[in-house]
Amino acid sequence: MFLRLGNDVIFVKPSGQGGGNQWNYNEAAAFGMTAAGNTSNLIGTTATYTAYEMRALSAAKAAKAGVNAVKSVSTGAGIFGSVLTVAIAGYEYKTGQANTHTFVDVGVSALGFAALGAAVIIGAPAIVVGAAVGGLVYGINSAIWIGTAINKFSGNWGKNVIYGQ
Amino acid sequence: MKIIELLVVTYFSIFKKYGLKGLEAGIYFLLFPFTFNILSLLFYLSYLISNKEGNLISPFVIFVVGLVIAFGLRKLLNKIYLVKYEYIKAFSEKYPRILLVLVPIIHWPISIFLVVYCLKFT
Repeated sequence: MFLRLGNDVIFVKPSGQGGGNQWNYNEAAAFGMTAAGNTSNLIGTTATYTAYEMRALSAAKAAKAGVNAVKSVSTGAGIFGSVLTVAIAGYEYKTGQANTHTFVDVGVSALGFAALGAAVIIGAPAIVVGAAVGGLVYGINSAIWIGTAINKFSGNWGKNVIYGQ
Repeated sequence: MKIIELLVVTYFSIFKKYGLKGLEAGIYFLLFPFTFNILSLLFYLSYLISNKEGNLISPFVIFVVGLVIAFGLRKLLNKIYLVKYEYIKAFSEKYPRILLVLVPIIHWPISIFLVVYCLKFT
């Protein structure tokens, strides 16, 4: 869930390109969506670690049932977070903020969530840790500078592609 | 249906050494780009239905529809393919693993590009 709350100039979409429904960028709404995504990520990661803790306890039925339950929560949270990223990309598009970073954010989020969920299913703690740390590092840096850097580096390729400039 | 089966086989090949759990993980891994593909198609169809005007889908609707598709697909694919483990495994052994793994590597970026690009049809 990596949405910049920065000061990009709002791009006004030319008429005749997919309609003129230009939304105003609302920081509160963007923050709410980002927070929801991060909460989902947090629930997923917490559930994942709980699953490993419970696995270590014993192979008793109760522990097994608990592992299955947290596995469902963890993988479900991954799907939730990934779809939310696409919705945030939609919001960025509507507010004229979509750019190359939108592609990268959706890609990194989805790949991170998919890797996290798959690692939970197969029981690979190293991948879980890698995906969680990688996602967190990217998320924090994306909010600070990576998104802007990606846009600059790509010469606003994403904006040209999405808005047809 | 054959295309979906082929996708399941290719994604399974990434986690092949984990057996049945690998198949479940492969299906989970496939879920994301597959949901993006369906969303992209829906965006484009909405654009066609609305006489190329767009504006039918708000981010909230994208979110709700996406969740329904993703969770529905997960249930459906698990139900259909987890019981076909032996068949999927035999299918995956017909081709070199490197060739099969190439499909997800290509499918993922294309799906991500399409879902973001197709937002212009909303």
